[in-house]
Amino acid sequence: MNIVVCIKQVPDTTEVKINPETNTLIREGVESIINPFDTYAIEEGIRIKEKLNGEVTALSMGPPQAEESLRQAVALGADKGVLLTDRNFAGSDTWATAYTLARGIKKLKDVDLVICGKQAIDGDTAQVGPGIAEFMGIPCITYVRKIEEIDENKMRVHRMMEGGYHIIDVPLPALITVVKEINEPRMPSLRGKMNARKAEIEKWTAADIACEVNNIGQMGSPTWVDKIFAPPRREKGVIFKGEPAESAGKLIEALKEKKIV
Amino acid sequence: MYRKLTEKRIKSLKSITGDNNVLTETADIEKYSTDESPDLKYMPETVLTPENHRQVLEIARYAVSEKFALTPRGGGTSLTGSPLPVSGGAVISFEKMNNILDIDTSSRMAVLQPGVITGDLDRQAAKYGLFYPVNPASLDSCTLGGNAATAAGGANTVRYGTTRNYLSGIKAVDGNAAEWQAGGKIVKNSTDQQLLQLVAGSEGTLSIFTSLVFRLTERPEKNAWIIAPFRDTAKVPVAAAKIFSLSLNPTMVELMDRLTLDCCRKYTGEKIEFDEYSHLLIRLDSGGHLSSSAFQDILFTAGQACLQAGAEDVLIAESAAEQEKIWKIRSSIHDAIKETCGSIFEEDVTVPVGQVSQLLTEARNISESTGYETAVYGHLGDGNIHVNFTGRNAPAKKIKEMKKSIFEAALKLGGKLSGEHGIGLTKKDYFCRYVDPSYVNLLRKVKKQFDPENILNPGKIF
Repeated sequence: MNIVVCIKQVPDTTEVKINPETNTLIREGVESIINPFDTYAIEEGIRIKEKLNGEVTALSMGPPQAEESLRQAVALGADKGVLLTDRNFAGSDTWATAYTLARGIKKLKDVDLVICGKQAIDGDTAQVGPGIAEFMGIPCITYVRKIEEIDENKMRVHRMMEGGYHIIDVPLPALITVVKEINEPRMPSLRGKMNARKAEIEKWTAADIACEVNNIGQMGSPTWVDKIFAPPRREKGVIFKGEPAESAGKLIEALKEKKIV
Repeated sequence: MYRKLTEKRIKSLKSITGDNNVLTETADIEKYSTDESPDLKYMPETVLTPENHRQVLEIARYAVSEKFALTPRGGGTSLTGSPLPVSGGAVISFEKMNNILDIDTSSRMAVLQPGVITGDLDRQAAKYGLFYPVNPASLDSCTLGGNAATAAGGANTVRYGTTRNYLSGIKAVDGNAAEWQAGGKIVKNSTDQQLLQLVAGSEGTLSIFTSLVFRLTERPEKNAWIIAPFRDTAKVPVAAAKIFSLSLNPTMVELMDRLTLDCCRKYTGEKIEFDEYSHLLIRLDSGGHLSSSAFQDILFTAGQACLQAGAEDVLIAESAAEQEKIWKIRSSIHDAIKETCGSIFEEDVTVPVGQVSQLLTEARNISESTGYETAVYGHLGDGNIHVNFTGRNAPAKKIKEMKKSIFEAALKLGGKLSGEHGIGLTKKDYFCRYVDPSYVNLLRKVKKQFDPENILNPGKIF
């Protein structure tokens, strides 16, 4: 079983800084972590490998420092890490990111299962996982909270929904995005950490994975960020207290004052 | 004999502190009648919540003139009954004297009132890149006044020492209703340091603190936990000794035996890997001078030593989330044992570090001979081991026998009755039995000087 887990390195803070010129995140100087949702994807990949044998490859697209996240994935039990890194990838939106990752997975060959976290905590779009599946032409199941059965050819998963879940049978290869209910990630072991230190993280450029130049980076991104800003705080509301007739009267007065009625 | 707090006296107390700071209703004062020690309850006649030094001084003057007992109380987390008003009178609670008055970054000192929660000092210090390292398990509910009164230790003692090492200044009122102060924002002091060390750990029997100065230190930038599970608990102190031989300067070296871990797992609901094993927990910290790679080397060295000592595996927790989880489990121990297995009693005997293995054997022997299972945990780095005899409703005679056995085991190994909980009420009889009588006589003379009328926390220690 060949499993690919896609991970993203994200800033370890909610107070991210934005470059006012490019309207993209400034990642330098901010401590980075593996996107927390992706840690569940790594754990699930390792558990399947422990059950069925095979190989788990952690894959990420990002700047050179994203290598550290891949080493952490190896420390947790991934067999290898591959970083897609190229200046031309900079500024990728979810479409271009999904395209690039799909190209990377294609180069890995004979992949049976791709696992992603449900979304990244910095962008919060939840689009990249399904996008990869679309580029690869394989089934995609989002919000997976349990893999009930899995063998080399198929699996049965529980897809979380409001107030319940779907049970879905799906042939492999397929892509799933997972929610935190699926497992509890393990802590890295000493042996894992030592493996991670020695591990050679492969680095592939756009040319290595035969990307169409027009499909990657800012140029390949149909989403253009015009401006990023914090929405203005909502003003505190007013509560009119007292007897219903009295408070209704006050409300009418206030609405008239604001020329709403 | 102490005088009762009549309505007239309560009225006088109200004139000192204001009506709001004198509690007399049962519903209001009930919570001050217990602490964390099992089966002890002493109702105060009133609870006073003064707001400043002057009010404390006035209360003491009034107590001396009217002859009623004053029992100072911090967070009420004592395990020995030390803040319980066994002679009635007034409990003085410092919940309204809970301000950090100054964090002097140039001198690395904090000036504060005694009711400040210990964890709050460190959180404030962190804003300035500083660190208050004393780390009792009740960090977020105990107070620094209480810590000073008990010379509190905690899990960081092996590297950073106890409250004694940080208490630099004090303002207090003694049992003569005289105010006194010593020390200050100074690190070195061969002028008036001695009294500070005398009243630290005196459990409120010599003076009531109204202001304290604590030294702060450099905040570590990197930290990590190493978890090493062992099938055989006896191997844990052996591995700890190996860690010490490597001069890695660990911040914590802790034992959690299998039963302790099981209680914590059930109580916190946290999943614990290798929960069928006894765990050695090692925390390592480092300042900014060490590169990430050099810090990793230290972690690897410690981890490999554990594997060589027979650990089943070694886990390394570096992320904030993993570390929070470990500390959540570690700091839940006391409540976890009490709630899941029941706790007949817990003693925190202390022995020379080299004798910890022997103490664990003795504890196991007592457990086997009495039929009460022990949950053992504690600080391998400083020899302070907590032995908790689990179960419910043991006969009083049996409890006495078991306590005697564990105390005598510790003493035989060159240890002491308590490493950090203090003597208070629950160990008073044993203290008087096992400690050199001439030492106790000297303590009595000291008490007489500070508190001739025995107004301050009577009935404790000896």
